[in-house]
Amino acid sequence: MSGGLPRRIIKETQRLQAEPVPGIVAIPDDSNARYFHVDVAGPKESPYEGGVFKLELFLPEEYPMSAPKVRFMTKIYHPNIDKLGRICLDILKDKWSPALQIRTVLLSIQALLSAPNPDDPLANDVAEQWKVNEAQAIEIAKQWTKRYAPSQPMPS
Amino acid sequence: MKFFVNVRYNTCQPVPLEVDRIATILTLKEKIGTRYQLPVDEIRVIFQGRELSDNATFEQCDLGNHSCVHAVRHSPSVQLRQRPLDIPKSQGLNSIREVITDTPPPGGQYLYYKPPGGWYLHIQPPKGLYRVRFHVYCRSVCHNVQPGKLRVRCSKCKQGTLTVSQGPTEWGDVMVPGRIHGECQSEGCDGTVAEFYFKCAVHPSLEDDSAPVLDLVRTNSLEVPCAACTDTVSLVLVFPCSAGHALCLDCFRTYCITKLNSRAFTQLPDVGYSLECPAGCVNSHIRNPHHFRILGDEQYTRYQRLATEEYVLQNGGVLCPSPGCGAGLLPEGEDNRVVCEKQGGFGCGFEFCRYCHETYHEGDCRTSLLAAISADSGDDYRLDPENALRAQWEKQSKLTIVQTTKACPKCNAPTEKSGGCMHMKCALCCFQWCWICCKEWTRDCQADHWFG
Repeated sequence: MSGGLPRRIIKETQRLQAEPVPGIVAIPDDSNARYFHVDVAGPKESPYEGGVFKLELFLPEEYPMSAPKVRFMTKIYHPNIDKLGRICLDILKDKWSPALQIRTVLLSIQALLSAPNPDDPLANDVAEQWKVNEAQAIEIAKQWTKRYAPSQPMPS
Repeated sequence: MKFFVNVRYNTCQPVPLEVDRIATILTLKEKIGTRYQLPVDEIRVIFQGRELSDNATFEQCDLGNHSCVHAVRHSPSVQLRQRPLDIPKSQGLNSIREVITDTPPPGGQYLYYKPPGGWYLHIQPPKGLYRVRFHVYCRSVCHNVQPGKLRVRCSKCKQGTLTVSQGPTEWGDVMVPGRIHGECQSEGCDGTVAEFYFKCAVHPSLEDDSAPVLDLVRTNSLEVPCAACTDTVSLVLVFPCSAGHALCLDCFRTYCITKLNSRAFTQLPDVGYSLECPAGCVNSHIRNPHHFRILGDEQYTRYQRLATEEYVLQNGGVLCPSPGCGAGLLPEGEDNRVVCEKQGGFGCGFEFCRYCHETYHEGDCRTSLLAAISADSGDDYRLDPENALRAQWEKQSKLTIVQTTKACPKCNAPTEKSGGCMHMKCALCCFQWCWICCKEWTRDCQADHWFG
């Protein structure tokens, strides 16, 4: 750790590119190696299937002692993601552990898309809708996916 | 390089005797005999709870330069109380290489000692061979984590003249007093209980040499990568969880300091002020607080201060809010008036309110604080202009705090909400409360106004 980028970040970045997680692409920004452009494909059999969601991920100075900052850039209808793209996920807050990695964080976010949790909401109105009429909520989520997250060829 | 063995005969000061490094214990006995005018066949040499046999070499006995042995005298007619230790011939100490240089060792090397002479004794365990199993924090000379040596002495006379009847087989045998027995060979001592201690293996022996052992620090013989930086380094701290998560010492330092900064250590009744494994495993708190010495003297002092503060707060006490004081006070009764009494060099005399930590007042805390801030000090003209300005500054500062914060419902710590949901967790007392209700967080808060 001689002033530059910690070796752990270099290693994680290399591994993300050498052995990418299926359905997830994370590419460091050209001018800032701590800032990642992330594409997450909507998981199969979820209302987000067929969509590609853009996220930003930033590794703060204290990483890995503090959690990466992650936010959805693509609008998404999900009870645990608010309109600013902020994500309600315990491992991004008090359950963060330096033993976790960028890879595990993105996998957890992908899992959250498969299993929305309206009992642990960040977006109250969405959560309410999800509880009152789940079928309709899923329909809205599908529409939003088509409208805001159209599938594009993933950047290589 | 000259090779010395420090010999302590009876209770005299240890005397360094120069011997040939490849010689045997018999040669050492001859030197002792000459020095103290004793018949050689009546001398017994005891080291690490064992009597050393005549034909053993220093290497075989693990005797390094300046190791301290005990010599006792017994007439040959007396039956040996214990068979001398047989040492397998193949077991040598030459696996540790000593290099003397006049430059400091490269960064990250932990095995070095700088004696007053100005050169460095640089001991490197050769690659692929991991002999060092014990590590200590050397407080007296190195101020660093160093390889440690286990030593045994008589619990009664405190001399290293006790021969043990059986060696320790686990940490408990060494850490819990009274488990291992033996016989003290000192004349006039009938001690039967072994007392274990550790010393720094890097610098020559000192008079009072014990160093706290770091039982979680291990030589990384399994080449496990650090859970945080993922590098594989020679020394790791292995947490006492079932998975045994390991951090390198640099990351352990950063991990602890990050947690100290956010006061995220926990005070547990049977453990003390401690940290759990970074992966959050159950029952993984560090039980031996000496490990926090790894943080360095300054941060260790800070750890001790925060631990004391936490102890005072958990026991219903308060910390004096007066700048530069911070005395821990345990007020009796429910009265909100607390006086930081001056006694025994502690205390500043400040009288304050137990709940809002402002100057003592009667009635509701917030009302009286606002009244104090808005009170127009009519006799400003008598004040020194700078003091008056400063007073205004303090007033503004207090006003800002009142306007932008809410008090933790349990400890009254002014709390600012910079983002996130309504679920607050006090950084000082860990109380979980609701920003809207200003009461303990409930499922109802979650359902009604968790967010928004």
